[in-house]
Amino acid sequence: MQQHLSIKRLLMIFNLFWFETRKPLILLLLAVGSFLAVWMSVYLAFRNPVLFSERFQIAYYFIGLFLSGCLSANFLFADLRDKRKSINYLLLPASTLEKFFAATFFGVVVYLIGYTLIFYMTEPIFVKLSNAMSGRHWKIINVFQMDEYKDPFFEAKPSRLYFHYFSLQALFIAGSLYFGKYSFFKTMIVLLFLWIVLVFLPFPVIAGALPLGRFNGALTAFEVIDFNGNRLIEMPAWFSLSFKIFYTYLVTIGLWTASYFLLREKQIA
Amino acid sequence: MSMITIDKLHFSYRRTKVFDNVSLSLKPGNIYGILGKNGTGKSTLLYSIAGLLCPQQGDIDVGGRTPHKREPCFLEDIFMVPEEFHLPDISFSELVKYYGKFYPKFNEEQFFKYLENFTIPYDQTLLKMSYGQKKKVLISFGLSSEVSVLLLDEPSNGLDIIAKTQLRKALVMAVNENKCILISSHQVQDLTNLIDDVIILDDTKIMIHESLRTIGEKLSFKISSDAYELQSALFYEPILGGNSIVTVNENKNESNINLELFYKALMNNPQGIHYALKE
Repeated sequence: MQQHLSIKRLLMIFNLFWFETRKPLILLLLAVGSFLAVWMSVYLAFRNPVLFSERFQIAYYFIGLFLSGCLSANFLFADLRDKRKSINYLLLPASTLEKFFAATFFGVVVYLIGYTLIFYMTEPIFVKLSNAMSGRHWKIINVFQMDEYKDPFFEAKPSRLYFHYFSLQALFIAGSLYFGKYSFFKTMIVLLFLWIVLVFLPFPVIAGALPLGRFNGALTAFEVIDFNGNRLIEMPAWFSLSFKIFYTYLVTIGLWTASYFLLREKQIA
Repeated sequence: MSMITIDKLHFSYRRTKVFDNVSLSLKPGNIYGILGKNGTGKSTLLYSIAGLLCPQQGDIDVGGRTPHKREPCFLEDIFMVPEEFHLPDISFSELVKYYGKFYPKFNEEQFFKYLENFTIPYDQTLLKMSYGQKKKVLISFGLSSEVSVLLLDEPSNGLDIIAKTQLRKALVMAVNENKCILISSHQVQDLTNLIDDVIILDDTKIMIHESLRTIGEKLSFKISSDAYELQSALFYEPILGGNSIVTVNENKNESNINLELFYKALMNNPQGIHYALKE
């Protein structure tokens, strides 16, 4: 076990990663902050106060997080794309688990905290300006109590978007380790393929085999349209629960595990 | 007892075969020189020993560990100075603070001593240094980490004449009965009077693995214009004022080895050289 995980080494590698990544991380967050500021300035110019309502703020928070989080995840293992840097990285006396822990901690946890701080440093300024200009009283959203607001994209709890974010980010981490060069674009292609296979195709294919009706929110519930009254057919509760657990937690955990093994088996190009 | 054992190693880059059934045993307390033409696998051999490449067939054992598992206890006892390397833009004190800690036997005092010997200015960050200066820093770091296995891939590339002499001195001083140093180079002369054993790679095989002592005892290297000597020589090449020749060492007194001439002789007359060494 000592060979896989040692607290002393873990602290040393966290220290090293912080020393090496703090500059690019801060620069990235400042760039994200600038992007948010420009974006909100444009919306402010539209003079449409609804654009700064709580529901829209949640949308901006998650759009920014999804875009920048996935982009930054793609650079987590960027050293492995350069032969010279990959030699340093792979020969650093720490276990693969420790290196993976440190990289994902900074790329996932620290990035999320940093992004949230940057969001709170920019968004309130524009919400207050909008309120002052329009006389509305939109409040600043509380990202720790997301479920108090309406989901801007689906009829679901907004906090679920965090799980989708972690899954998507985990896919980009795995993609950066698997593909090497042009990994961001290659992962985007994989994502498009997955969306077609898992989301776009199943609905019409399965719906074609079912009586007249429509899916009710997810693949586990189907509403049959009947002249005598519509009927809702639902999968057993255990199946729905397993499905929910799968796409909420297991996809992310599975992709992180796959990334760990990809890192462990990594060889220099 | 061997420190590094390679057993029936097979390795290919896609369709290009690099090693075909290569076996090798390297002992501590020695400096090994790896020679070979471009593309014969000198760097690949070092990468495989370091665990940066995984053998497609065969086994590699370094101090009882499997390199490609890259366990911390293995990594903290091996250091590689690659031909193309990267050093972050940091100061020496930061290099020691953040990287030195990972090597339990790292000697900070020794590191600064090596830097002084290599005449590296302390007040610069690594980014502002030339390729040669950076290489000296990396070599100093590797030597100060006191690891059991030190791998140097073309270490003299980019070093000036004085630095090459300093490097040779430092390596001779660094080796002890617990250490094994492997140096790959295509600059044969840089290894003269430095290495204990020479390993020559050619065409997916180890063409020869022999100690310089044996080579010096069995072969003689001299300049001659004598027609009889030229006829009986294992290899000769014309030079200004005569011919450099390699002959069988008849009197068995250890001769001064001309490593470059030995390499050329082996490439031109492998059977003759092998026969002479076995006799």
